[in-house]
This record gives sequence, structure tokens and C-alpha cells, in this order.
Amino acid sequence: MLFSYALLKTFVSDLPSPEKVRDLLVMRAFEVESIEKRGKDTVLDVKILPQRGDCAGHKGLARELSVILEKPAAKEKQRIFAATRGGLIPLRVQLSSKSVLRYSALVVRGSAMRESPAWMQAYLQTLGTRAINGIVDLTNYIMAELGQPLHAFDYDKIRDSSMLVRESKQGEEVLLLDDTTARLPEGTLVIEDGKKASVRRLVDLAGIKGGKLSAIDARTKNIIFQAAVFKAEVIYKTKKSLNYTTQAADIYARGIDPEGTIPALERVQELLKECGGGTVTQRIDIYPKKETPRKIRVPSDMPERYLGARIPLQKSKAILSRFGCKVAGTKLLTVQIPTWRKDISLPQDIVEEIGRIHGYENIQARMPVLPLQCPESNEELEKAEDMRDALREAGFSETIGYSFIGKKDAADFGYSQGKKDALVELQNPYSEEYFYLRPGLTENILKVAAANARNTKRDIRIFELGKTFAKEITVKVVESRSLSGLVAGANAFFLAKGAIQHLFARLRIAEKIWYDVSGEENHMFTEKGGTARIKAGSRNIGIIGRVLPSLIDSYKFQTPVAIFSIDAQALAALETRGISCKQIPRFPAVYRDIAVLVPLETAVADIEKEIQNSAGPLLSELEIFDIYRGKGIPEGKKNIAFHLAYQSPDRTLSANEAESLQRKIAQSLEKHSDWSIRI
Amino acid sequence: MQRDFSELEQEAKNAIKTAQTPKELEAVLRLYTGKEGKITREIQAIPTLAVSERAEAGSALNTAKIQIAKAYAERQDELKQRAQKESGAEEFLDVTAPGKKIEYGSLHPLTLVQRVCGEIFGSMGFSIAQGPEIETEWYNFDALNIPADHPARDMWDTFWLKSEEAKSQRPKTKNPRFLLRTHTSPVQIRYLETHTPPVRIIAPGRVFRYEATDANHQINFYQLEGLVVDKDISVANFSAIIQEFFKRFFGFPVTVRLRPSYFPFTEPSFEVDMTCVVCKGKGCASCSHSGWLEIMGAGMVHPRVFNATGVDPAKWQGFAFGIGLDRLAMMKYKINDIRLLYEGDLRFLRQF
Ligand SMILES: [Zn+2]
Repeated sequence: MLFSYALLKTFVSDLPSPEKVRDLLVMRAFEVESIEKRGKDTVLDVKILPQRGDCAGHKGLARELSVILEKPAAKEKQRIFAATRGGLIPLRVQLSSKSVLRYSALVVRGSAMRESPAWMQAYLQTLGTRAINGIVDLTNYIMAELGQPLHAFDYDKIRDSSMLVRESKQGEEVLLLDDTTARLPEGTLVIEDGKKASVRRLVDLAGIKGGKLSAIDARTKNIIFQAAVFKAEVIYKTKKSLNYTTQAADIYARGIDPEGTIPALERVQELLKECGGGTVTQRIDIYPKKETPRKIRVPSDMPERYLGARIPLQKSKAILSRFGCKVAGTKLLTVQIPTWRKDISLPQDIVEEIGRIHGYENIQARMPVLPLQCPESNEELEKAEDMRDALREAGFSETIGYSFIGKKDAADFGYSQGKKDALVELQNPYSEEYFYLRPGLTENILKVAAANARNTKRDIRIFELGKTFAKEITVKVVESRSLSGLVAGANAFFLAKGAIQHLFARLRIAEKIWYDVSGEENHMFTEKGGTARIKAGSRNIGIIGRVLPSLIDSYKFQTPVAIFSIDAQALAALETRGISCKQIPRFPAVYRDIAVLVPLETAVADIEKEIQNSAGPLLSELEIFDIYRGKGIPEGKKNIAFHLAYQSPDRTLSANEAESLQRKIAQSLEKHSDWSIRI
Repeated sequence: MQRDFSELEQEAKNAIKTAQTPKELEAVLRLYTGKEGKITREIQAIPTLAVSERAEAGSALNTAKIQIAKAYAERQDELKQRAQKESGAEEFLDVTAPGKKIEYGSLHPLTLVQRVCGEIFGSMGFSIAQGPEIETEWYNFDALNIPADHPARDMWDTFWLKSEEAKSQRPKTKNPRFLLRTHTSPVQIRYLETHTPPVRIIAPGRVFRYEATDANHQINFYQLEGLVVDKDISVANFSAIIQEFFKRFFGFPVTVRLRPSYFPFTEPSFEVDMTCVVCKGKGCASCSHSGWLEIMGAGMVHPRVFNATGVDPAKWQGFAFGIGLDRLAMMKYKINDIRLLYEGDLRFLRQF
């Protein structure tokens, strides 16, 4: 909100320099966005806080500055407010809504339309308001000066000299000053003229914008000056639902003092002769429920207890009385709040007023004295950190992406075929690119990897751990924590698999995990034949696989790409955090190798299972050290070589025992007709 | 009579130096300090000496023994190196060639910053709490004293979930509309609902704002909420705790400055400035030459927030604050554009 330094100065004697005013406001009241010289004047752009409707005009901000500058509260100047009856049919105003807190108006006869005085135009120019004519400028100027919105109607355009302020019905329309038509929701405040139903028209969108039908123009002679106060919530709701605002609406929406209407109209009368003149023939003041000053009880030690600083009671009282409060009592203070401070309703509000005027910088930082207390541990978080650490160790870089996927992504990844329902939609999506809440992390991770692939020839290894969103059959929105990773590079799949194996080992759950390849279904991102479900017992906890060739093409990858995607919550539930140490074997192991020639499509997991089953408990280690095909190996076959270790917990195994186990394994492997042993 | 052992020592050293094989070297050592060695025998003879000579002889023999052992060790190394050279095993070690590459990944700067925050606040007794990213209107606004149709709502540009989705899970008592949380403050409500004060928590997490994006703004970003509720917690305590946090986070003595502000869920409310990290308060372009950077909002918990969670504001008081973690990361690591944090460019991420 713009303020003229010169106009502020008319309210505060010995106002310091504009820069000093800025500094005082910043530390004691409001941020100042800018300070700028305009002609002889200086304009300050002050960010009046939303709860401070009382500072929406120069008089109010000046009052704030007086408190800060330790000047006593200014006495209200009493003006003469008289009407000379006659010449016009008296205007009849009726209210039918409780949202009109006060309706005050003046009727002026015989005004001549002319320009406003130069001094007024100069102020308006400083404040960025265009000068229009004497009457409009007068209302704008007084609004800037006092923070009370005013509106001028052409008296002669009001049918039957009769106005009704009421709430709108759904779908009613009003033609505004700027020739636009506003279609109203229910409950907006409007002014209707005319007595008989047949002639009634909406002539004003109360508190927001004047109506075309009652607007003053070059021929206007008789004027109604309205100074009303409407309920802040109602004006706020209207400007929101119409998505339309004016300076008056913004002021009303903050909440202003109903006691301010009469001083504003007195000011109209005072300045009228400079702006077109005329005789005041009628004053109207409908004030259904007079605003009475609120009283708040505050324990006198409360400011000190809240602020943690010594502030003598005398000083607190002095600050409050400069604000216009009346303070009584010593142990329990009773503070009477002036009507313009609608924001002060609790003892804490009083603490704030005292604190900021005392100066927050005068409060010494001091550590609290609290019992020594260990923080609670947060397992969910700690386990997530374990997962991050494990993947970092595996050479992966963590990415953090957007929580949204695009409209096009949804189609590209096949969500449109019946799966779109699973996507969570926003009422107000940001753009086509950020349209749905992300159903998984893979969509974004693929995009990120593709962008990186353009910049590097090295392998790409990335992962993300974050929240994903789905709609379940019950239409309930479910938020869950997912972990996804991607490798792009020559050996993508096995790098990815190595990484998750490391992850499972670090979480001490490796022995609970197995890879299920029995599924026949298609996968959204990975090849049917190149995908395994990651399982813990019978539970699906994720997927790992080679990315579909169609996606490799559309993202222009030059290398194979593999992804994994794991339910991080399930993973966390499996994680074993304690370590319980096993005895170091007391007797040495016997090491042997075994190699088996099998058809290409044989799963090594099956061979491992066969070896384990036939060797029994003395087999303490089994590790594949080579998978080979090519020279020396028949077409359509592969050679798989294992390291084995045999060990007993209670004796040293002899070479003979090892040999007999080797034979037993060989025999059992060779029961498969197309497997042959190459020891 | 005073015995001189230095000659014997010198004799042994010469024999060691001229030994040509490890075997020869072992034999020399045995000859002097072995079971029947010359030095060993002298040591065994000490009790036969006059009492006055014993101490000195003992000490001299001991020194000789140590010197011989040292010479032996040196010669042993020489012989080993010579053997290696002769066998040709280590013809030329190019120590300038690179070592074996260790493939190590990186954690995201926002993760690092959250960890640092967790450690610093943890050391001051703060627990870490979390809440959902999809929130109800009640937790995100109403319970925080931000009623519908109040201009304060304009302070948060909100993403709303499509209404059919919200309708079906409409709880009876609390406001049913769903949104993406605009701040981490709902965690205050959730935590106070389920815990009895005293309370000391931080709550880091992702938040959302429907606003234009640029080098400093994103539609999703990270915040860290703080909440302390106790019998006697004041603004002065807040300043001290947050000052300590910044001091440890940035690693230099930071001071904070509070200015008046407005948040519906705190009273009094502050805007918090800290010493500019670039110029350390002297004034520079980053801080518009003021020496201060605006860093966060804070305040004393509003009694209506306590009322909404069933905490008696007559018995308890405390402070709450919210810091932008993206901003902290940008300041700490000198990142000039927030978009770098969300674009996943490895040339950026690999630096962490
Ligand atoms: Zn600076």
C-alpha cells in the first residue's frame, strides 16, 4: 500500500526523515517494500499486515508512527456536521442484511462538476491514483487519508429516492462502472433502488465497485456520499468468488472500524467546497449495533513471561495508552481496546503490541532451562536414511523430483488404458506438465536419466525415495513411500540387481528376499521376459527389470536401461536393525569348485537350489564366479562355475568327505538330462 | 675394573652389514644375541662383577643389544628389497598412475541439509516428527486458526485435490476438503493431538504452493517446522535456540533479529533475519547492504492452536517456526538456482 510522506507529516508533528520512518516501521510494525522520491514528495510502499485494517489510511499509519515515536495519542478533532434540509426528496435507505455494520451517508444538492484542487491531485498522483473529477477525487482522497472507503451516487439516478442494501440471490447480475456485468453468487451485498418491485434495479455492488446505473457523470448535480462498513468476511468471499477486487474491497476485507464513517463524511463536507460545492441536505446514519470497546484482562506478568525480558509495568502501560487503550489494575490489568483495533482480542495480542514497541531487538537471547531429555527415535526416518546410505554406497546418486506427472506422461506410460482412474487428479493442476500426482517415481526418474544421458558417456545410476499417490478401488487416496532406481549402461540389469542386493544386505534382510519370475502379466516399464518381482515370503515388495525397448527408443537411450521400484514402507518393516553376532567357525573350511554346462534359458537360481538341496547343511558358501558362453562352449549353452565351501561347526572336514559331497552334487545335477558337469 | 662393550657392539654391527643372505644374517644375530651369543654371555656374567660395576655394565650391554637389533632390522629390509629387485617382481612402480577407482554415489543436498538439521536440533533434545503430504483443510488451515473466508488464506496458494476424491473420505467432524499441504505446520496439530506437553520437535518435509516458478520458487519444496511447548518458554528462548542452530549450521557466529509480522497460528509473530552469510553482516549485494537476510517466520503458539488440539493455553506456552530447507541448502552450498535441486542433473548432484 502506497503512502505519501508529505500526507503522513500532516498527522505527525516532527516526523523524522523518510528513511528513518522506513527503518522504524520495519523494526516496529510493517515491512517497507520500497521508498521512492516523487517530485517533492516521497512515496513509501508499506506492506500493511493483513489483520491491520486500521492502518489502511494515512491517519491510521500516522497513529502507528506516533506510538513508535512515543508521542501521545492524538485527540479526535470535532467538526461541525449539519444538514440544511430542503430542495430534495429525502433519501430512504433500508438494510435487510446483518452484514451491514453501519451505513452512513450525506445527500448534497447543487454540486457543480469540476476538477479537484491541485493539492489534492498532487497527493493522488503521488499515490498512483488517476485524477478524474472533483467528486471522484474527493472520495479517493479521503479513502487514502482516513482508510474509510467512500462512494458517490448520482442522487437523481436512484429511483423513488429509495435504496435497499440486501444480499444477492444466486445468478443475479449487476452492471458495473467499468461496463462489465458481474454475475453474483448468493449472499453478496448489493444495493437495489426503487419502491415498487417492477422498477427495482441493482445499482451497486456494495463495498466492491459502483454500479453503472447510479454512477455520477458530467451532468450530475445532486450526490449521495456513502460511507458504509460491511462485514469483512462477506466482502472477502465476494471478491474471491468473483475473482475481482478494488482498493475499497481490499480495505473492507481487512475489517475496519464502524466508528470511522462519520469522521469521513465530516471530511467530505469540509472539503466539498473545493471539489464542486453544494449544500448538505440530509444525513443518514444507520448503525444497528454500536461498536463498544472490547475489554481484555491480562496478568501483568504475562508480557515478561512470554517475551522473556524485563519490561517495567509502567512502560507496558505507557505503550498501551499511546495505542489509545485505557489500562486499569496492577496484578491483573484490564485493557480497553479502541474500536479501530479489531485485531486485538486476546491477552497474547496485547503481549505482541508491548513486545514490538519495546523492540524485539531489545530482548536478550537466552537458552531455556529444561530437563535433559533424549529425543524420541524416529524409526521410519532412520530406516529411510539407511536405504539412502546403502544405495549411495552402491554408487547411486540421489535425485529429488516433482510430485507431479504430466498429462502426456500418463498417456505415454499407458495409464489411459483403464489405469487412469488410479491417478490422483487436482482440482487446479499447475499445468499440463504437472497434472496428476505421481503414481510412482519411475516416470520422473526415466526422464531425469534421459536428460543426463545426453551429457555423459558414463553409466548413469540414480535413485529417489519419496511419496507417491494412488487412488484405490474404494476411491480413497493413498499416500505411500516408494524407492526407485535406474541404471543406464552396458551391464545395466546386473548393476541394478547388484545394488538392490547390497541394499538388502545392508538392511540385513537378504535371506528373506527372492525373485519371482512366474508372472505372466505385462509390466508398465519393463520387458515381460526381463522382469522379476521382488518378494519377501509371499509378499510382493517391488519389481526389477530391463526397460522396454519402446521406452529406450522414445527416451533416446544409447545403452540398455534397468529399473527397480520397491515399496519403501514394506522394506522398512522387514529391516532388522539389531546385530546379533555369530560364532566365528572353529574348524577350517574345505574349498572346491564345480562347473555345469546348461542350456541358455536355464535359471541359475534353479541350479543353486539343486546344489543346496543335494549338498545339505555342510555347504557353508555357494557363489557363482563365472557365467560364460562363446568360444569352446556349444551353441545354445552356457557354462556356470561355482565356488563352494564345506564346513562343519564341530570338526575338521577331510578331503574325502568333500569329494563325496562333490560327487553327490554332480550326480544330482546330472539327473537333468541337458545339464552336464565340467569339474 | 671398567669393561668396555663398544668394541663388541661394533664387531657385531660389521658382521650384520656384511651378511649376504637372510640365512647368514640370522646366523650373525645368533652369534651375538642368541642363547649362547657373545652379548648374552656377558649379560649372564653380570652377577660375577663387583657390585659397584653391575649397574653400569648392565646398562651398556642393554644399549649394545638394542643397537644390534636395529642394525639387524635395517639389513633385513635391504636384503628383502634386493631379493625383490632380483626376482623382477616390482620392476617399476609408477606411483603417479591413478589408484583403483572406488564407485561411490551421492546424497541429495536436501537430504544432507535435513540430516544436519536433525543432528543439531537433536543435540538440543528435539525429536523428529512427520506428517502426510496430502492434508485435510482442517489440519492445514482451520486448526491453525486460518478459517475459510479469511484474508489470511491468501497467504498460501493451494493445490486442491479434485473433489470427487475428497468427498468419499469425508469425516464427519473435521473439514473434509483435501489439499497438498502448503506448509509443515499441520504436523504441529497432529503431534499435539497425540502427545502431551512438554513437546520439543522439528518436522521436516515436502510442501506445495501453487505459484509461478523461478530461480527462487518451486511448486514443491521443503520446509522444516519447529515446535517447543513447555511451562516457561519465551521469545528470548526462541532467539537463543535458533541462533545456536544457525551458528552450527553455517559455522560462524550468527545473530538473529526479530521483526513484527503476522501469522494466524502465532501471537506474537515474527519475521526472523540472520547475519548475512555472504558478508558476515558487513553489508553486500546479497543482503541489499543491510547485513541481514530474511530467513524464516516464527512466533509464540497461538492459544487457538492449543485449543484446537486440546492443550490448555493457560498452562502451556511455546514457540513455533518454519524454515525453508531449499533456501538453507542454497545458502550453505552456494547454489544459485532452486531448480537445480529438482532437475536431477548429475553434474550438479555428483558434487555432494
Ligand atoms: Zn551481505
